[in-house]
Amino acid sequence: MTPTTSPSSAPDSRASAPEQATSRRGRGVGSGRRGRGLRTTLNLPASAALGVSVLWFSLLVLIPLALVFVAAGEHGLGYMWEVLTNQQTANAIRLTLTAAAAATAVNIVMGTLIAWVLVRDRFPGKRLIELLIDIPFALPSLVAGLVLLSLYGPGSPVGIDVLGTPYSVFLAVLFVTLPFVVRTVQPVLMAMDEEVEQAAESLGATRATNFRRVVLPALAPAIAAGATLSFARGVGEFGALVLLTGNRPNVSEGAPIRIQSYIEVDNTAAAASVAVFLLLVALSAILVLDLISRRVSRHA
Amino acid sequence: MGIEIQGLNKSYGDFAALKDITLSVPSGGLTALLGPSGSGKTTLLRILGGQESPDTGTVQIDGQDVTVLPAQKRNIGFVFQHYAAFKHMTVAKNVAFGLEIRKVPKAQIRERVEELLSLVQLSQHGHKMPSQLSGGQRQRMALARALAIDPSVLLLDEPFGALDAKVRKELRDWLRRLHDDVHVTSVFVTHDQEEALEVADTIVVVNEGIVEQVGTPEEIYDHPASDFVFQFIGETTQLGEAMLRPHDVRIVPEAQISEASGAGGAAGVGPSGLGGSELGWVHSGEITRWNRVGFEIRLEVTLDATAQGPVQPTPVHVQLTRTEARGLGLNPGDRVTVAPHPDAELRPAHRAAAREPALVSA
Repeated sequence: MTPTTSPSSAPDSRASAPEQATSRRGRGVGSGRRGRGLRTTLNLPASAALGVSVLWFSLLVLIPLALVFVAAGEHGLGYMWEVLTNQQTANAIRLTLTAAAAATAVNIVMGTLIAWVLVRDRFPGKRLIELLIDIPFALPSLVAGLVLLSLYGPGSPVGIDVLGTPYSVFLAVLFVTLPFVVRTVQPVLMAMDEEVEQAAESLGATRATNFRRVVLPALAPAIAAGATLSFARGVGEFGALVLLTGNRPNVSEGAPIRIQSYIEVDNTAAAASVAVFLLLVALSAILVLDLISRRVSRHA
Repeated sequence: MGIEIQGLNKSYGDFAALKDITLSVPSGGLTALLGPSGSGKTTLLRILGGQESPDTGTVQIDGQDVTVLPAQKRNIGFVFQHYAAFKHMTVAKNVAFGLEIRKVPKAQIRERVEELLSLVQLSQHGHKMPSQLSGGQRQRMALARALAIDPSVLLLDEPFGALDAKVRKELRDWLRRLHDDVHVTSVFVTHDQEEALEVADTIVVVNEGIVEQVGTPEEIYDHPASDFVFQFIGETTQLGEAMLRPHDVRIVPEAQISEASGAGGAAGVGPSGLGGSELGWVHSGEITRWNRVGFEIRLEVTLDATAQGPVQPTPVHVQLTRTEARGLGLNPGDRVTVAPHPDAELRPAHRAAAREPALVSA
């Protein structure tokens, strides 16, 4: 075989292998994903719709996002590193990521529990709670800070004052991210067939085993989706931090606040550097959560 | 042994789903709980399975009182109408579930799962996900899963209800044969009398929370204990003063009767052969509807009105095979004479008719 023919034949053999794999595995739910890219459903209207979608997404998200990357790299990677290792900035990033991760962990448990109660139990006032769950969505987050401050601030009627402590960031993030897991898990739980649990029960599964091996694997993708949203929102939350945290450098200052102060002094490159870093962390978190949820689903 | 049910009551609010049910289900048999929807048959099955608990009464399985025993500890195999598959597990894992819970050694589980998969003819499908199976295959998987734990009792809730007619028929035959091999005490719920008649050893007819009759398919069909059972277990039609099965109506073309009078009768059914004639139940009429369904012909005969008005509000339904109809030379629009078959199970029409609205609403 001459060197000139081998490159042309290689892509062919590579392309046909996944196709065979797909056809062999049939049209099952899980197996279709890999083969979907090979064939397209694009006719004229579909192409037009795709074009509009991509254009829209580009104008609103991709291009501005690319510009953030450009701005971050304005003074080179060395400068970016310098910004991120600045003690105050590093502390702010650490605090934000810790608070977002901790809040997400709490949300995974509490959100699933709340969704469970709302779907499976019947009690007076259920409709009301159903409505109230969305308040953290609906409330401007600056107001959320204000509300939390009145309960957990200096004049706290319950004697808890988080103002100026790292816990204030955690609390603010906890408040604004509450609905995410609830709202992603709820519909899945509603669609879940209770007979499946009864089947497990009749086979001898205790409640704990039933939850671990039957319920949780079914909910895992929804929990992961909610956790992802929760973490991303927690990392980016600004408004609720402004009032509640007191923004004490190195103690209760969150990363978005830090970005804000960079912008105030016209240091766009530094602001963009922090933003890009937070974005990359959020993306890796999404990836990790997706992997975990697949693992939970598979190894039930 | 088997299942002993004593004085079972269950109410949902004001609605009494089960009223003082006492019933014994023989060990090793295949028993059908047959009734219209809302009759309480599923509630009864779920009480046996431990998914519901009775208000009063007791349930014994193989001599042990299980009334308050939770479902996990009853060692009962339960098959649900909509399969209740563990969607995130392979078919083999689904079947292995109950054994894994019981901490059976891995090698033994593998062996048992293989054995069960071949029993339900799914050996080739063990590695697949339930979503890749057809409805009939999924239900067979559910059955293998339930059998895996060597249940003392197998309960099936409308097991073929979600399947299309052809698969349902196949699976029915298959369940019957499987039960002949496995012999586990089995109870299945159905609203389909044909299914019950075809598959079950014993049929328990349930209606409005009470047991109407318990018996073999033959007993239930030939000697229904109540008007309800008579109407529910098969088709019925009115002929003058009587209710009877459409295939128990004898029909002869009028032309043949006049031709053959005194000559012994055409096709073996002369006027003297018309059973019930001495009872005054012979009526004349005209075939006003002719419906051919496969090998079967369903007729409607509108009876001639008498001086006092119509004999009955609805036409007489008659069921016969294509061969019989040809032999008699019947054609749509013919004038005919109808009478009950001499062996027909007859019931007074007024009583049965009074129960009819209840049947329709069910």
